[in-house]
Amino acid sequence: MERAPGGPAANEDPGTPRWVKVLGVVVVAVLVLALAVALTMGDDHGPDRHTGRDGVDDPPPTASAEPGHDRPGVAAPIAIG
Amino acid sequence: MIMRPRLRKLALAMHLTVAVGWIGAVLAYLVLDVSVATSEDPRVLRAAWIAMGLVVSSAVVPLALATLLTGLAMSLGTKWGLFWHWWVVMSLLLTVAAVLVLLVEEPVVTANAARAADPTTSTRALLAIPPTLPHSVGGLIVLLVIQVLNVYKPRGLTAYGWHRLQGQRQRFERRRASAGGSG
Repeated sequence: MERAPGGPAANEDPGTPRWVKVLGVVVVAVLVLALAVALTMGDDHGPDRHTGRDGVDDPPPTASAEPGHDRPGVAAPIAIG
Repeated sequence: MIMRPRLRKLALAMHLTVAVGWIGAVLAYLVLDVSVATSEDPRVLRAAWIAMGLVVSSAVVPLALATLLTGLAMSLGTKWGLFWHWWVVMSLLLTVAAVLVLLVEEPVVTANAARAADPTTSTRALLAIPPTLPHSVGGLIVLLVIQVLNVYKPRGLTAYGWHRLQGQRQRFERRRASAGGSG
């Protein structure tokens, strides 16, 4: 079956619409930003980044491990007294 | 080939179901991802990672692939075409990009879920697994942009679509002229 000649947007200017240019610029900017972040973080971006710390073996489980004590960037509580 | 109305409605219903389901599955994943990012309770982390693995492999990936396939069927089987209109082209590009990133990320999330499910994985190792927030938040934004494009269908013919439309118009005019001349 053939498409109707008077289909949607039949009399439109064939030039690239402004919204396409804006969306394209935004997408490229996000890609460049993501690439910059990935390069800045070095090896931290890639399929292996979530699987531990650079292949270092994990220490054995300890009974004394408590939530928050070993979290990177989370300071352990300071014992007072 | 343009689909018949009943088939088109069925295809549209399927496409809407899986596309909205994809967004819902990503939202569910995002909730778990935020839990991983904010919680320090090993039980919560283990449960969240295991659930994230299940949500990604059983819901997000199948729904993403189904959305891509039904979207291709909808565009090729309706008047919109695949490369005629900019909103279809942009939707296709963003969907393909989202699916590719998802397929790269899925094994990573599954591996993390396996680590979390392993009782020998230490609390320290569990806490060291970083969340995947940039991907889940970015993916959700991309899906919402695609949804807006599909709902509003902003005007704009591609050069390919414009040339095809001119060809159809010329054929239509010739047929009308020949029909008028013979009648």
